[in-house]
Amino acid sequence: MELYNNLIKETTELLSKATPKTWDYNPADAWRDRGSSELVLQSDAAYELGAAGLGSANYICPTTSTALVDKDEVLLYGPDLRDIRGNVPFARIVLARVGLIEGDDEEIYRALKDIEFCKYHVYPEGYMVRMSPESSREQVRVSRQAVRQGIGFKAIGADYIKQYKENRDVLNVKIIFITDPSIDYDALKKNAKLADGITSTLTHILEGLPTDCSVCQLKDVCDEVEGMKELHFGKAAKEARHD
Amino acid sequence: MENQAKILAVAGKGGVGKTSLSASIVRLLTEQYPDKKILAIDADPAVGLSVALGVEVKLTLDDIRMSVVDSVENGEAREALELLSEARFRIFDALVEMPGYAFLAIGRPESSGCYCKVNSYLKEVIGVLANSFDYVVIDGEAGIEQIQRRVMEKVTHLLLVTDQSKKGGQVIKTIKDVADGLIVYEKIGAVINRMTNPELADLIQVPGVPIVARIPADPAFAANDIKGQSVMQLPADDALLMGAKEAIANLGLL
Repeated sequence: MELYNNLIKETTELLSKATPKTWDYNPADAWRDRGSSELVLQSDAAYELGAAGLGSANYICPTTSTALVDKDEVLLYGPDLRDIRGNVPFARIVLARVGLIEGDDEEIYRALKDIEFCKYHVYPEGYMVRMSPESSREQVRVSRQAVRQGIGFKAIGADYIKQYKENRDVLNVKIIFITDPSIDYDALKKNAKLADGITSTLTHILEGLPTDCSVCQLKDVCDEVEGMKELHFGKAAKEARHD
Repeated sequence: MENQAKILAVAGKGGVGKTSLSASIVRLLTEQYPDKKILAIDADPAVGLSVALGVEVKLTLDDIRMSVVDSVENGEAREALELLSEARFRIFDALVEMPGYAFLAIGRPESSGCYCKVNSYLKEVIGVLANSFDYVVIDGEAGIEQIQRRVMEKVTHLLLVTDQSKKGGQVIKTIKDVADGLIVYEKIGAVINRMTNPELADLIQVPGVPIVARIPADPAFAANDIKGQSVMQLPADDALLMGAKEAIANLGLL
């Protein structure tokens, strides 16, 4: 799974100017999770991460590379939850090391989506997440009570990692939270769109896109992502042999 | 940690006072349970609950439905979980937060005639939001369509409203019959509202539906309405509020 490796490198490069706080993953650190839903009304919120009008992005990059993801870890760029006083920009990026996903292209696509969808099953108490797949935004209302109780990204990250690791294809997870206003959120959003585009392109490959790149609407994604063309033409060649 | 939301739907024929009763119930619940999360849903395309509560609506559920449909039509296909996430993301922009409760309006589809699409969307939304709130009050549209379309399938308490007319009684009987086949509600009750002939109140009987309140015609409420004031401005001893209180107490919600 090398498709997202360049994106991981670009993300690392983008964040290289800042120094993160880091915590090794310990499941016992996980913040209380409500299991099914969480609601924080504006009147109960201390602030909102990635609020409307501020930078916001979320994406996931799966990889098989141990050089890129070598352990389970939570990273934070910017102030922690208990130190934030008002709305701030926000990004959450997951780098997931996966095992060799066996099966045909369709099964690989499904496996990647299942890993991505782990994010929809995390409901930390006092931390209400709203995600827009359309805009790649993630906005989080944090309750005043959770702040009083000492909520922090170490615990939120552990809750997320716990959920991702319930997927049998996931071996290690690095979860990156960004609240530092000096980070280029537009670039992160562009990365989010590219990550989404890579996965979407896999779907299109399955649906049998044209093999003539000059007429293909997803040419830009393929040009940018190493391995995408090979995957597509490999699929096309396999189908031609079966025909 | 599944929340067991109490979801009350108010239904009945048109013109019997469902909306003012729904608004009164929202007021009573917010007064009784200041620490609980309460959601009022205006599921009537006539959009009356917002007026009765004094809420200014800028974005409706139908606006959101249309924007999600547009984004799907103009962009990449999305999986069901992603569409639900997108809807949930946008719904919070349409949720109006008032002191003690939140408000959501279904809105009126621009195309005339059929409300099925927004009704089926409403059903999904109720499913998404219901467990996040402790109490949900739904002011339903007149008649039985929302019951028939299973929009109300997660409802736990069904409050049927009628006036003293024979027709009003028949409508709540029909709603009850349809609901019995489609909804697993916990409690049901009927309110006889706007009674002008209290001595004839016993003439309305619907088998299996206990009368939980009889509310006389309320000149104070009518005056309030004429002045364009919300139910929140009614005096606490107003007949409508007293009747609404009796109704939800008898349904076990107070």
